[in-house]
Amino acid sequence: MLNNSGLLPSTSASFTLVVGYTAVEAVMPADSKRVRGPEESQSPLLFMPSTAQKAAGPEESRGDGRQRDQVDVRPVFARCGLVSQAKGSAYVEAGNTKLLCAVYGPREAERKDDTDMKAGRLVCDFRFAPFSCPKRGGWIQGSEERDAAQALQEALRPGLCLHRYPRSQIEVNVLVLEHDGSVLAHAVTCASMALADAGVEMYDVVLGCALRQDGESYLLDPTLAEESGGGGGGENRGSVTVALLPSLAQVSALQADGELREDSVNAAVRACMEGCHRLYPVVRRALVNAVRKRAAPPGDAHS
Amino acid sequence: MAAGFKTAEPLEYHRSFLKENCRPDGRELGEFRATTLNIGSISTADGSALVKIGNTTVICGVKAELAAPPTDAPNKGYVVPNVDLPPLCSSKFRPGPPGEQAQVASQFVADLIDSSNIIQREDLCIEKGKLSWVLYCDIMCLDYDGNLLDACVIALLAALKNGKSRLPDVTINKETRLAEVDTQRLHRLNVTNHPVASSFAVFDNTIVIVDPTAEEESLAMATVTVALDEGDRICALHKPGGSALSGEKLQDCISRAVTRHREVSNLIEKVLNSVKPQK
Repeated sequence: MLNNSGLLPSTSASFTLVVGYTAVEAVMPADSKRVRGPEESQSPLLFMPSTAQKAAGPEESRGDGRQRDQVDVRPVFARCGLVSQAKGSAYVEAGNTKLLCAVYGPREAERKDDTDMKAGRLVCDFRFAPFSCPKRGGWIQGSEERDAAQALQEALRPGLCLHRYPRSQIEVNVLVLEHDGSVLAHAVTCASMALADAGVEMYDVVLGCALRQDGESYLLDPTLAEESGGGGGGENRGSVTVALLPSLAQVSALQADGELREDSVNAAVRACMEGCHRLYPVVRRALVNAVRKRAAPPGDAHS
Repeated sequence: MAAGFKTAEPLEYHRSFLKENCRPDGRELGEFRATTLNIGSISTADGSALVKIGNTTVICGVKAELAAPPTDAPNKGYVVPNVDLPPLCSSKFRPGPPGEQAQVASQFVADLIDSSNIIQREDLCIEKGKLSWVLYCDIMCLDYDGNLLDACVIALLAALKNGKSRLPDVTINKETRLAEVDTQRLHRLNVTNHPVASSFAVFDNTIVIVDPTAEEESLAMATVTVALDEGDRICALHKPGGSALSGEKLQDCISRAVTRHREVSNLIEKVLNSVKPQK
């Protein structure tokens, strides 16, 4: 007898809609190039008794000891040069968010249009590992990943001297190993560290910082629970991500969504810029260490 | 100057080392690269492991979901491995659907799981014909420098044995016929077998080297992968074409694989014991 189990709800909320397929009900399309699993499967989180998440109220403190309304970014661990095959690479860990970025290039670009003759092209690829989110993601690239890749490209381009690499393309590949909030912001930081590690000429590193506005207070560098919590309407709720070139004090990308008042947006952008400045010394130190490791130790040349 | 010779005549370059019974990175012919293992780093996954063999880095994340059991085996669950080689790991791989190498690796791991019974699929069944667990084992390569299959197998085994990989108890509520998940009571996955793979590359039909790097793989005439389990029984032998290999050389490979199995089992035990037991 075929699948007659009334146990699994027929509408599964855990899959993202795959762009390009006309099926509305989200069933994993039969991918002939991967090992086949069951047609449909649900995450056990859907079946948990609903005592679960209540959003943190405005007076409560954040889970990890940071403060609301303060420029309190999570401590960041950053290291360059981890992927031996890539020209440059970087790994960033902020709280539980873990990202890896590899840069390949400059390579020959497929000649598509005239602008390639004058300046290089930046190609970004953003991916979530299937085990990175609490609900398993599929293998096919969803719209969220494509949006993030586009945003990443827009954020990084102003920082690079692409006119120095005509007819070439530089590829940036970001992989999120674990998603615990403000992924785009950390991806921007990680990608610019990898670009610097690869020796691509840049005007400045591009650092990213994200913020979640929750009523009257804001949470800088939100975790996943903080980003998606705060359910139910309420005024002035939204998130803001800013990409900044610190020493030039220029903002290369600004993304805001939700319903925010004008003064909140101003304050949010200023808080994010301050957060970026807090990250700057860590990034600088990581890059200097990477260069030191690569340079030959003194005395070798004189043997 | 050596770099120029290496680019122009890579095969001759490697041969000159093999004549002296060693390899360009200083290893002996039968020596594996330094293997390091890190488990339990991804908290969103139900089990995870990161393996580095030399430069080759592979991470495996296990996620458990619920599904109806297969119609031809209503008392079994699913274990679905998938190996992915993203463009991040090497310039050889382009974005898009999995290429040939990734598909071959996925199929090898799937066959190994079936033939070695790492997990009894009956253990994954919650209620016969109605509900069972699906373990999605997603293996991603972060840095490709040869010897992918060994690293994938070690990562898979360590992720499944990971102290954190516990499945919550699922009971079927008799009245509502719906599943109820109790995350307070967890039971650990029962790993019944511990296969370990060892890969070899054959040069010039005669010289067999262990644990090839990416360059050595591209120059080799054949590659062989042997997977052994605990009782020193062969679970899988993978020799995709290539030049012919004599019986004795194959026997040498298998004996080397036996010692490798012990080394890797000790490593995994040491790492699992060093993780502080959680409540």
